[in-house]
Amino acid sequence: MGLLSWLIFIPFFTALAVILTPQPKQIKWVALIGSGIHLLLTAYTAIKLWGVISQETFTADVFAKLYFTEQYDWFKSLGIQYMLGVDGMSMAMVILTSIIIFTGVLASWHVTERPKEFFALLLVLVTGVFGVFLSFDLFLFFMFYEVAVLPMYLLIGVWGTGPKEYSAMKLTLMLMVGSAFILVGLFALYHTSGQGTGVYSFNLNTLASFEYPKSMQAWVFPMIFIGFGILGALYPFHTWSPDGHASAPTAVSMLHAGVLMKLGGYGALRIAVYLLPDGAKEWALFFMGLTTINILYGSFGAIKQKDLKYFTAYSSVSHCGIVLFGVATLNFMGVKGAVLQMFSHGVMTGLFFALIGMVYGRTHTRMIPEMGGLAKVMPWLAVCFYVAGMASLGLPGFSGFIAESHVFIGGFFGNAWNSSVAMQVMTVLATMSIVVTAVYVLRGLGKVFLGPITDSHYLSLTDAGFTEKLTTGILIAVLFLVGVFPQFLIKLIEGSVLPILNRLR
Amino acid sequence: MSMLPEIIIILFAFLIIALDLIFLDKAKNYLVPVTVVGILAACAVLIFNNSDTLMLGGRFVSGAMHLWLKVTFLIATLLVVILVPESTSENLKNRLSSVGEFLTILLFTLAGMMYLVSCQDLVTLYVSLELATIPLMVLSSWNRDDQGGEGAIKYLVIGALASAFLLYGFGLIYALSGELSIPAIMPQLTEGSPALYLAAALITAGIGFKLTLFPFHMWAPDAYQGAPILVTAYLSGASKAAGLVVALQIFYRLFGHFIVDWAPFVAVLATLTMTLGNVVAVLQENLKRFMAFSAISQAGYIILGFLGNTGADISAMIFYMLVYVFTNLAVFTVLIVHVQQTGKETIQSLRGMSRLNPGLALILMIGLFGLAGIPPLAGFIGKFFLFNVAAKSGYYWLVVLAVLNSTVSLYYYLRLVRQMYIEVPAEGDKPLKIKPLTMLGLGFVTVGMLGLGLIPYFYEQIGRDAAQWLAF
Amino acid sequence: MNLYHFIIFSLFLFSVGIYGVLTRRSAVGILIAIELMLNAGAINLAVFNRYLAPDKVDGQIMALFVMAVAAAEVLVGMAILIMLFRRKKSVDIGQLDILRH
Repeated sequence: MGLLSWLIFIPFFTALAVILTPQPKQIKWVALIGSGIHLLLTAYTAIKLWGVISQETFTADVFAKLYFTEQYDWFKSLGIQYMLGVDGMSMAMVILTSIIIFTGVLASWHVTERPKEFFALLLVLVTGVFGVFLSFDLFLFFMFYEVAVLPMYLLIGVWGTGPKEYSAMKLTLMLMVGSAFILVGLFALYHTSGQGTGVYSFNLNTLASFEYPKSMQAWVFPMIFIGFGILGALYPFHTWSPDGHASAPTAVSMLHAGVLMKLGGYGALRIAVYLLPDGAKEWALFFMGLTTINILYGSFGAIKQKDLKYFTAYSSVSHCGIVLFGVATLNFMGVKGAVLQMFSHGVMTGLFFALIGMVYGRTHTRMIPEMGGLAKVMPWLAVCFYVAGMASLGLPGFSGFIAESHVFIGGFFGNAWNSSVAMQVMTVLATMSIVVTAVYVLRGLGKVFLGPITDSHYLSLTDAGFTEKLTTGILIAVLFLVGVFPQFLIKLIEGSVLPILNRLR
Repeated sequence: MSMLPEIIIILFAFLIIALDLIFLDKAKNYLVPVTVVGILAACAVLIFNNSDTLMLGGRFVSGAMHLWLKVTFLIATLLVVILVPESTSENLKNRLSSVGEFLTILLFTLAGMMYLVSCQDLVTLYVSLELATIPLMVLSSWNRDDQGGEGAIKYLVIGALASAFLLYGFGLIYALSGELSIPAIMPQLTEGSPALYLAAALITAGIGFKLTLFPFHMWAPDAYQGAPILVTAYLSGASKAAGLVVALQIFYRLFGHFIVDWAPFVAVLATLTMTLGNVVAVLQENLKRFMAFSAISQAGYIILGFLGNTGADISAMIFYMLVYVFTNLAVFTVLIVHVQQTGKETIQSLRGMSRLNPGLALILMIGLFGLAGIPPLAGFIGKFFLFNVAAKSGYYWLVVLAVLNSTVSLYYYLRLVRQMYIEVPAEGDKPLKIKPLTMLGLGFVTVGMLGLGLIPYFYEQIGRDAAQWLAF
Repeated sequence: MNLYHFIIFSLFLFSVGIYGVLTRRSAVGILIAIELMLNAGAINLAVFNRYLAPDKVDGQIMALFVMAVAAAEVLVGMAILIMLFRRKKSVDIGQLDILRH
């Protein structure tokens, strides 16, 4: 089995191993070992890929350059293949997911109810995610995409809190509607290119070689973009997100906000913009406007929240808006920034949700007004929270700064096809969200951690245990490394973003 | 002797009833195994003896495509027969009575369906269709209670009505062409004659009944609810497949040249059927009725294949039918075990099954996801191919509707999943016991649900055979 | 008697049959109406054979088959009806409404 196939299916095999494990206590170890092996393999692949990519120079290539490809015919009569490949962007996402699932397993160390099904479902979900990031046949892509969405229902519905069934159902149905739009778009791409060239194929690069008529791009692009946008929390289709994140158990929120929502941005970039450049040019301003609303709405919404999880959920809506904003800028800096933000926010939000889970596990409340002065009893957690918050508002030294600065500079530069003034106005508006973010982060965290202790029970609470320190440590380390040495990630991503932009010529 | 599979089935039907009559109680335990042997024998003969032949002066054909269709019917019947012991174990509240006669009638229906596949002229078509339908009406009323009787009467009246429409339509076709043999009729039919449209409309009414299309689906919820759950399983699987076969015979082999012009009607019919089935299914509480509406909406998806007229399009329908039989029977197997042992037929009664019988709950969940069309199950792949046919013919709005309908169906299938996984078991609920034969059946369908989709051989081969079959 | 007379005749029978199925309250009446419809179809076949394809016997053969099938169908209907009659003491279909819609 090829390297990339292993990357996809190791979590699946781990899930099988989890199901077969007899002792409940061993289950989490099996999951941890499995995701640990995966993390090592990811690191190996990344280093190998880096070795190849660092030799590359910028090209005027218009096709995505894929490495380590595996290609087999699946349904030959329809042109469906089992095709895997990786380029810088995919690799970045795979690294992100691998880190998040590893820390997610760590963060779920104390799950006691039906751990077998929990970890198995988590791992199956992650299999789907890896599949999406690594497949370059659209049928395969779509298959893995659905596999990534569906376990959410059970994960939230069984192990969640609050109005879990309602949140789970709303999330599942809205995401499925999104995939409905994507599917229609896929069919349109397949049939238009097939009828045009006589070759029916779902292969991404084969589809890319066809120039789609502008009239067709005009309706297919927004359809696919919105389809993915629903997952990427595009306004006004984000409504599943706050309830979904708040009701989900910790690791699920980490995975969902950290990884799954990035599928939306990735899909929008990889499929909508890559294959339909003219449609992208036409609709870019519109979506930029929507995402600006996203960014502002998310941050203003976060200010009003009293529940920590809802607070983080709205913050995620805002930051995922930055991702799609970057995609909509259609210039090199902006799109690069979008991918960087995907990575950075993924880690950051994973950290946030993990921390919330840890605090909730101790105080048994997520309500900000009820908590106070926790820094006195939980110094480690408090510091981590502040780090996450700073990264979230883009403090230099952490990856958030790198990502957001790329996106906003890109937005300000404008592109060759859309009104520069409009773009600059929107960029300025979006940048103001940094201030708003600062407000809600500092206020919220200040209330929870600083000041006098509000409840005497809190005096008996403990600080982070070993697994928790490990979880937060890893995530903070990544945030810091990317913040201070971003050139590795940037070089990795650049080569893969370039073909997409070259096509926009 | 290519009619051997059908002959085997008929012989075994008589054998069963003879055993039952002669040996009475002593034979009770052997009836099901004997039936299983018979069906497997027919399967084996079918698979190993497969060649293109013509029999009875050109009235009976047999070839590669017929293999797939007949095997679908055989498997559906086999899976239902395997479950008969679940319904006949001692001290069940809703025990199935007169097993021998039940099996005999089931086998007759099967024979009718198999003849339906091989027929070459309108007489055989009509008689096989009736042979496939009428015994099912008897089976629907097997419970001999008010519900069963009501369902069966509705089935019968609407079925007979549809049969009469079909017959009148056939009469008109005969008038237009002067032939009763299907290959001979087709060249004679010319476009544009009003009698042709009338005939097509009447025949559509007849087929719509069998396939439970709107607005001829009215009998289905009541008949499915009143019948014993074994019969419901068979109705929703094999009877639909039979309807599809009739539709294929008529719309492709008779009306092949015109079918593309009638695509708008097909599109509207498909939309109405899908939407109606899905919307009403959301409100159901009774499991059998729920599955009836689910089956109705599935019929809506299946006829999407009629929007195109090449071999690839037909193969999408036939492939989906095969997948549907497996998936549907997987769901029904679990439901049968549950209904027979707890005596309860509501969705609520499934609560907490994931803790009491995790394996059963998992298979039911996989089956429901297969029906909803979730990857990596074959149900998704089958639906994808069907939607592909619609997209190919340019009906993108229909694809959007169909996919949205799938999402709605996911909602109501998730209701069952929710009961099983999220709710806790009620007081006093005990785990269900599964017989080894049932477990074998479950294993078989699960493998089928996954394998049919992931292994490309099935779809590709059906595609090749369909292209051959159609060649007009 | 030419073809058109027969066509109108069978159409008339068919329509009467449809009317009967839709309006009669007695289940036996419905079965009679169904029989009428099926036989109208059979008449069609026999008649078309005679006037449109006189050198063959296909239509008449099919008419015979149809009669046999119609008989079988109505027989099953009567059997179910008898079972229902034993329980409810009436053949009024208006009384069949326990299955919720």
